[in-house]
Amino acid sequence: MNRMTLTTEGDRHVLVTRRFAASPEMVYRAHTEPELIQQWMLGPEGWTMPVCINEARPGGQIRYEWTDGNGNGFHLTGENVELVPFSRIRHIERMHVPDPTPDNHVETRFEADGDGTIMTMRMTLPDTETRAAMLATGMEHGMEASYVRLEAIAQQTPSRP
Amino acid sequence: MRYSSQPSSLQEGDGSEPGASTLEPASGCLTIASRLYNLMVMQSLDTAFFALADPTRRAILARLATGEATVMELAEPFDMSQPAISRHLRVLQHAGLVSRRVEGTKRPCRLQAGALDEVEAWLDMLRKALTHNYDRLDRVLGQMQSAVPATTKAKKKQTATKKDRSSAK
Repeated sequence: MNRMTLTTEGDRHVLVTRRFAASPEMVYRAHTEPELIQQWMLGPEGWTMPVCINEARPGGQIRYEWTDGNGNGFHLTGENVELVPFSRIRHIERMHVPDPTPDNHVETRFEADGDGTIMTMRMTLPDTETRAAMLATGMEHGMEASYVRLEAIAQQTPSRP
Repeated sequence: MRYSSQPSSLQEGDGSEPGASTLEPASGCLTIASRLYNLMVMQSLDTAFFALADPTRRAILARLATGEATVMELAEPFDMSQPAISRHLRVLQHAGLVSRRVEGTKRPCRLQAGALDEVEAWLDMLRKALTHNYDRLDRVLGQMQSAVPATTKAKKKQTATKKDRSSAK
């Protein structure tokens, strides 16, 4: 019942829906309050978000920094565009890997569904050319970073806590 | 499993010509990092390490990210012979990063389908990350609900707390 769906809309957008067993107010707050965002927006297991800035007002700054605790990390910056408590958030974000990716325009909606909430998130899918350019320009950095990471993994001993 | 060659054939300069195209689709991911992870898990660490450790091979991958190319085209920007480039290509083929097809007398190279620039792979990565995140969010929301009486107070403190966070960086 709370299964996530992820579909493409045309060749430029991605639509994600998910139901949560909590009110729109709570789900909205979990998307806008840094101390709550830090608890779940983490990606793979083992990663944390030591820096989380989200100024919940139009034009407000967004900055998330992730780390795996072994010296690897990346960050995201962005701006809030529109916030309608507790139903709608529009924001722009870009990843730094380390060069910034093109702006991703994201719209997140929260609708009451019985005693729960249906969240719908619509984001921009980078186009083919942009992906190719990202790969071509980011290759050296990405490779180096991954190479270092690979090395670290290779040297990791099983007994490491 | 992805190729049948002995590990020793991955060494450069063993003299043999590039092998047949590796046409089996790779279970791809968009980023190099996750692609590396796949290589590590599904093949051997040595293969991935060896294929990506060389700057020429990384440059070849970067060139192929913009489109198909022949060995001659790939050799152009390098001060290197075509056989030398072919050896690098063979290593990349073994690692499942590059495939070649036959077109008349030409054998153009391309990034392995699904390896680096596949929308499906990108979506798959996104799906996994979001699934993890939303499962965690379920737990966070559960904790928030068990602390419902504090909700109103927490809301009032919201602005101040955020300021604290921003400057606490």
